[in-house]
Amino acid sequence: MAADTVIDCGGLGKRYRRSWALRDCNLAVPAGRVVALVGPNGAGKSTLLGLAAGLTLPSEGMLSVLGGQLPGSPEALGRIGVVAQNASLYPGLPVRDLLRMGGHLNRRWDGARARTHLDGLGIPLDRKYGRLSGGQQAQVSLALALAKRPELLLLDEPLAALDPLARHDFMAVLLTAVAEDGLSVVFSSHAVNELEQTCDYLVVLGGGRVQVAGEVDDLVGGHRMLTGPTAEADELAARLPVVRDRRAGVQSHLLVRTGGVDAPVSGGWRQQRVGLEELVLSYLREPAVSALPGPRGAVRTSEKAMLS
Amino acid sequence: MSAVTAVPAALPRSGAIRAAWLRHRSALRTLLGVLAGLTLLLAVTGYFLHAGFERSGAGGCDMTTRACNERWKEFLREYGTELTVGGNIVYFLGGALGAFVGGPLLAREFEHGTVRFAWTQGAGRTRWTVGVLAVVGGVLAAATVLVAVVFSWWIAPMAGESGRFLPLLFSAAPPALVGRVLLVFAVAALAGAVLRRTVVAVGIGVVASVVTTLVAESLRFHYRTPLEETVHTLAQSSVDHRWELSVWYADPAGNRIRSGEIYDLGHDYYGAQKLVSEGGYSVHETYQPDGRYWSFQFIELGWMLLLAVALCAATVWWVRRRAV
Repeated sequence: MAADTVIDCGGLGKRYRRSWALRDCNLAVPAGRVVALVGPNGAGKSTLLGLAAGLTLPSEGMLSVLGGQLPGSPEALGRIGVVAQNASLYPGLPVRDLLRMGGHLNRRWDGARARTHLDGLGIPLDRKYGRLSGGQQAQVSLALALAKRPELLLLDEPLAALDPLARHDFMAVLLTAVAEDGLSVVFSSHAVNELEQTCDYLVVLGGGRVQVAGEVDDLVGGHRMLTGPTAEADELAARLPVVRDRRAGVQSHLLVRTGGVDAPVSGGWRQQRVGLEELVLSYLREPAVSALPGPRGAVRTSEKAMLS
Repeated sequence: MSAVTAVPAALPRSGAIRAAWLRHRSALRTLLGVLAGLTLLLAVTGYFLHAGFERSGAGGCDMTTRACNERWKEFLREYGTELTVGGNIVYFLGGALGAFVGGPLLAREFEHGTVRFAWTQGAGRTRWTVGVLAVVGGVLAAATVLVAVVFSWWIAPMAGESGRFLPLLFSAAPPALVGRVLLVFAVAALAGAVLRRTVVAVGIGVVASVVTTLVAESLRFHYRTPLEETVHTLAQSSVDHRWELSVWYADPAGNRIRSGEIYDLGHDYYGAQKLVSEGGYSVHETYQPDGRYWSFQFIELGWMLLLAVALCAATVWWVRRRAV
């Protein structure tokens, strides 16, 4: 439980036949966070989660989970809960049998918790999984994953197929479990508008590479939107790390990385903070730009984990 | 904070077996239901078939006599088609039972994406795969034994003329049929794990079922060194139910003669039989005695079972090294 990172990888890459789904991925995701993995379709989110779950083997690089465990090892499998995309489970089995299966397949198993969870939502245990609604299926998958009392929970697009109410219920259960058990969560999503309330650490993947990784608070605090005269924009862009550069006539909008302080600019410029959604979208629109822990970025992730 | 439940030191090995049973029990119940229906059909038709056999009096008589031969032919006129069709279905497609069970076993997990659940549990994918193969293969073997016992009884009248080494009979007896079904099951399961398509895996299994039958038949006579003997009847196999592979004839002087000549000399079967039994002509046979029947059954079960286990091991190996 003392592991200070839940996913640690260096130079990680995964190739499917000829194309790389993930390339040169360096991450140190700290423990005890709710981590959102964001990116467009095909960015490598599912691949990264599959690698961490031990379902896939990397083509290159190194990857460990829960502070040094090999993904897919018996030790790691027992301590990681996985909720698969579309929550795929055996449609012909009643929920009760799915729970019993989980109990047979795991050393650590809290069946009472899963039953309480599902009873609380009014999901009948004798109903076949295939006859449940999408939201109920997601809840059953979540209940199965949480009954393992995992230290790390990996969820692949858990919200994609759910209606707003089901999304809310799902996140409520998830965040309650986080509060009770202090487990770490890594979930992938392309719904960037709901991130701010749910996650406290963000990883943005684009084109198979890590574009952004960091605490949400640091990311939001470390960027400024500068609005000012286009005539001075070139000078500014040369001086500051610009994420997105939009010039329109006399006025320009530059999203810059400042590292937590206001940008040193002349009085002609107005600067303001931006929301997480706008920040993420800006990075996704500029795949070449990155904000990684390292010389160009803010603070190293590992140092940050120690500071907090 | 809710209390963390006590963690047992190790996961009991039976866990994967129990989970596999939960996963597959409804499908296995369906399988048993279908086979029970088939057994009932065999029991009813078999009752009439055996009654007809008794009535014909072809059982236990000397096939070298014209009267007995006529009775046998009479029986075949009435029930021959039924026996041949039933026998050939099991002969060519008996093993396909294994294809329909083994093909979807792993392929469907990939098709439905349920591997992501199955392979991320604490037991791991190796135990999961072993458990599924063991449970489903075990139930399949047990069910096949029951069907094979009933079917062997059903088709037993066919042994009257040529003995129980007759391919239709031999390959439907419990040991040989169980071996074949399990071998095809393992082929289909491996194909499903590699190709991840249920339909393709079942198809490969059905083809394997036919191929296995033909391969087994071509190898069977050589399981043990055959015996050679000189006899003085054309229907020795109806006397001691031996399995004859090659037969040649000699005249009283000991000269080898063509098989057609003996019938030309005797004008017909009964005349030829008279030449052999009383005229000093002799029949030289290479054969397997009926007493070797069970050793042949278990040799066939043995090699098929070994191959099936090897294929299951290959399936587990593939699953271990293969990513989703």
